[in-house]
Amino acid sequence: MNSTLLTRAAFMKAVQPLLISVRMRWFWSGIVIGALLALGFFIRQPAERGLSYVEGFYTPNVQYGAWYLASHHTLFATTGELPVLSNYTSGLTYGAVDYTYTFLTGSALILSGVTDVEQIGQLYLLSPWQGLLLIPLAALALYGQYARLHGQRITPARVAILYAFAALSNYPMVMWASSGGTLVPLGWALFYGIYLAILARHMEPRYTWQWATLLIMAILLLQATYHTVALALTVFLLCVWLIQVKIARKYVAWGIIRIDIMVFVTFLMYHAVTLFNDYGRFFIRFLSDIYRGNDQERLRYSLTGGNLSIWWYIVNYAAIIIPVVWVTLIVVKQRFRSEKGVVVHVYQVTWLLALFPLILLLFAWDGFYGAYARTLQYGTLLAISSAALLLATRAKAVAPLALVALICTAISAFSMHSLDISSSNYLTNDERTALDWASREKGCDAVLFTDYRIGSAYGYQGCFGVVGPTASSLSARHQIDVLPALFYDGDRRTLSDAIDTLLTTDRRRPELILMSRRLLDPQIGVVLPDTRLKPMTEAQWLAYRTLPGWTLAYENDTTMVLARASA
Amino acid sequence: MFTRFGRLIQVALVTLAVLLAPLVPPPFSFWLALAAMLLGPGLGIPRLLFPAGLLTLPETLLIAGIASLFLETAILAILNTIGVLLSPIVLSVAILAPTYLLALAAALRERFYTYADDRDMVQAEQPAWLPFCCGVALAAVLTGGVIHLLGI
Repeated sequence: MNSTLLTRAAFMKAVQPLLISVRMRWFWSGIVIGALLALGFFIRQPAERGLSYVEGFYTPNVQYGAWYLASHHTLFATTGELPVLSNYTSGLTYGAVDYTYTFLTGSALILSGVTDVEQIGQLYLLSPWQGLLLIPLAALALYGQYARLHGQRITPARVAILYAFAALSNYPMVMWASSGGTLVPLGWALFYGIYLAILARHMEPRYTWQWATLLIMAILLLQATYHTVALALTVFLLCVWLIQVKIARKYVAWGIIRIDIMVFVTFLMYHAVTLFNDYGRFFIRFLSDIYRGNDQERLRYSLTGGNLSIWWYIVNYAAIIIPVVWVTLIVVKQRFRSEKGVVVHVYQVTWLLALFPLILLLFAWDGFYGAYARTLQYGTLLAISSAALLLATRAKAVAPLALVALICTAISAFSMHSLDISSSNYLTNDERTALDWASREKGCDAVLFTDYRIGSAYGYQGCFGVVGPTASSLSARHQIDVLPALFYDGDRRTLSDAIDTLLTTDRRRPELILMSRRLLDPQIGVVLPDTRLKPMTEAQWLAYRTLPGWTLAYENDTTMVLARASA
Repeated sequence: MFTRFGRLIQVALVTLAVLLAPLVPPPFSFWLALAAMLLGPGLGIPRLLFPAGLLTLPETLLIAGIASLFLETAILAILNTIGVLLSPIVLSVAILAPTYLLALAAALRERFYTYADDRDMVQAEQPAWLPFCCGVALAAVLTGGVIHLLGI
């Protein structure tokens, strides 16, 4: 070999064109994005081995909403096979209280002929499309807007960096990895859509009615997609409004703010009338949760069904008609702001400032965890937006942002890989088998007592006669003294008495008990009122096993089902 | 000519996805159905509303996605309200009908109405799609293979 070929200069002369031509730069950008896509997709799959694909719920508030159970029953009646119960944030996500996802995923499942519970859960893990595709797409769209606004070229390096920021290192993917849901990110993408529409409309007044049409579509979808986003945007935009008043400069068009606030307040009214107690928690029950035992009232509520009073018709139609009329009037009157040359970075500052009141509200809702989680949820969106802005406006930002993206990606990948899935709400195969046995052999009429995680999954069998109290629910009902007897004391007499105090909402007593040794796991345990986990004791397991008045009806390696002797 | 041909291909792909979804095994069946629902109904909206070259590809896809979600949710909610059950045939029609109609509307808009920007609009640098997609596919396969082999 000629030694001159080994010199650095000769090497660079030969290779550099291959590395830096426009086509090759896009190739390398594709390499980065493809690698991140595959990493994001595969990193979680193997960790699920050994557990079923079915997951219990994490909160009693939203999944058992009778209106969506009724709606699912109607929607999916054609196949007769899709379980009417769906998990709000994980596992079996084909919708819950938020309708866009119900229609989208439920319909896709019907169309593809996938109706088995295990298969649906498996598909969830094989389809992190919102975290890996939708959110990055929204971020790249925003980058495109910024680039056009500032007359900058869209470069492959910046696209790859932004994808790295918006793919693995985002809260949606973290939630997906920790068995939380990808239902939520869909709402966030729409949130981005709103942001984009505001920005775009602000900068390109030529296409007023076109952007207004898209804005109407996006804001009408928000409540139907993710009701908390509607709440978040209401608070955000009110704050943006206040900030603009304070600084006496208009960086966001008043017309659009007014539209959005009006729309979201309407949505909130629509939602809050039914869930008035939930919103009331903001003010009267800080840091606590309420499990309502008198949910029968909610059975009467239906978004699309009958039995509605005139009030509901007014509210339902007002939620659609008022925003449309409002937007139409503003568009007709051309009240959109058309000023150019706005200082774009103030968008970020304004929106970041507007985040704080929202976090305070979420602290009130869910304590420090709520503030933390929601800061991540909405903060990551704003952070990615800021990265897009910097990449479009600051030439020197590329290198440091590339480094930050690399660090974030590495941290996220490691976190996802090292997450212990056994500490999630997923049911073990033994627990699933025991539930299946109980529903098959004892029928759904027999009320089952178990812990909340397992009990909530009983609905997948079509059985809803289940008592699975959480500490917070017992606490709210002044029955917290029952908890030690149920899980810790190891005393058969008090255990038997405690079980007899548990009743379903129609006042039926448990006829079956399902206990899993997973309750002895410190990472599963029982959630105390202060959200700490406390595992059940071995003595308690033995107490259940030899409980007077109950017989062992079914047992596998880690799970047992007891039946009331008189049953 | 190429643009029209490309649009026909897009509509044909959505149709194919809807038709193939019940036939192929999961997860591909679910992915096909989801892709058809997410992109189909709103496919014509970006070209209907905006001149060619104004939007970047992510913007186009996002607008198509939001429009699809809106149309799909509205159509299915109306069907549900009037008592039509969501069978695979009903769902296929609910996806394909707006897809065809809006694609046709977009074609008609371009045929009979030209935005002022249609001629002079210069979009920011278009990606070199072929090498970009080759890179994505190559890296996805290699990374996936490595992760699989290492059993991570």
